[in-house]
Amino acid sequence: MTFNPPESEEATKARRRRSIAIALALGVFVILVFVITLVKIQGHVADPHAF
Amino acid sequence: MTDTTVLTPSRSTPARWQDYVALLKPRVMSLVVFTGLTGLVCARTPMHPVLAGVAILCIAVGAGASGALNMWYDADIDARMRRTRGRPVPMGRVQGADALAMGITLSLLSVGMMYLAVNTLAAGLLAFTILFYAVVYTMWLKRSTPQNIVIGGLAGALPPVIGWASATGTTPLNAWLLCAIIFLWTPPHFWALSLYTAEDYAAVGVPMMPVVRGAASTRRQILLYSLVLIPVAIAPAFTGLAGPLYLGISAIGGAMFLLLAGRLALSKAGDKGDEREGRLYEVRAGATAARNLFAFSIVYLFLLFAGLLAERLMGLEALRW
Repeated sequence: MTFNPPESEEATKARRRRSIAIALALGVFVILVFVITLVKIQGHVADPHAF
Repeated sequence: MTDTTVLTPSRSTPARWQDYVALLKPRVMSLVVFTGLTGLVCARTPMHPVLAGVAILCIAVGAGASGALNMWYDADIDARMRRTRGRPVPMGRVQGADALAMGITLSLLSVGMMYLAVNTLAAGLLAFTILFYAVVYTMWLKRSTPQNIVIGGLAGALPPVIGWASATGTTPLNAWLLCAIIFLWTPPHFWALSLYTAEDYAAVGVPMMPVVRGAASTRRQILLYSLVLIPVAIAPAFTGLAGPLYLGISAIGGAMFLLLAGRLALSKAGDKGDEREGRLYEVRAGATAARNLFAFSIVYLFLLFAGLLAERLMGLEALRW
């Protein structure tokens, strides 16, 4: 059995801020992929020869 | 105790999100974004603004990934150099494995996104640039040859070509001309800096030119590279890439660059470095010529690419002959 010392309050806050930053980055990534998909689909609809 | 004392990593200091941003080398990233954007705009090919934005974002993230991989691999020497010992990995705020994971993840994401959203050539060039910087420069050249920043400079010179390829799917000679400008600019820029930071490099065994060949040889080579750089930097005005505005900037800036490189060649810069603790950028009188060229080289490159961008974005092409 291992003993993990309790995390300091500062470390907990820093970890929480990192988690929020990662969540925001992931959110931006998902939105970006969605927008790129729309742009690509729009381009193909406008130019049927692209298929 | 010496200048190169290894700082004891403070594991009690938790990583902040800013430490992960620092891993991406934001200042280098800003230069890469600027030159990549210039390449994209100079291609003069209409591109959907979202896809153009994605291309620039991928170039930026790819550059950041290279920076993270560099900081992971170089943590041992970074910890012993004044300029780099405050970085997150040597300070112990970010684990080396985390920097490596971040570098690999962002590399795959940026190249993958470039491939899916932009085109294969741009994605291939981006992958090559990341691999060249992380593997060829960082893992091989940096610690083995005084030509490290000359050859490794190719990684920093490729973003305008990637930008151009993003817009057109091709890389014509004018795109490679932009690459050549940055490639030839890199040695005078970094060697000027290394003339007054040579002790750091010598202490960790990195064979920078002043360490291996001496300051006098480095000053001569800076002048030689400058003599080649200036005409190449003026060339876009005669290849259909740029107009009179750019010609003026490149001619006046080039004359200034040559003047400073000439002064440096005649100076004693680097003959005896400054060993005072914490005085990295406060050099002795003899080395001010090196600092002046280093500082001006940044302004010079910025003005060249800003001139190209201005001619395109402000419709100054009408002034072209």
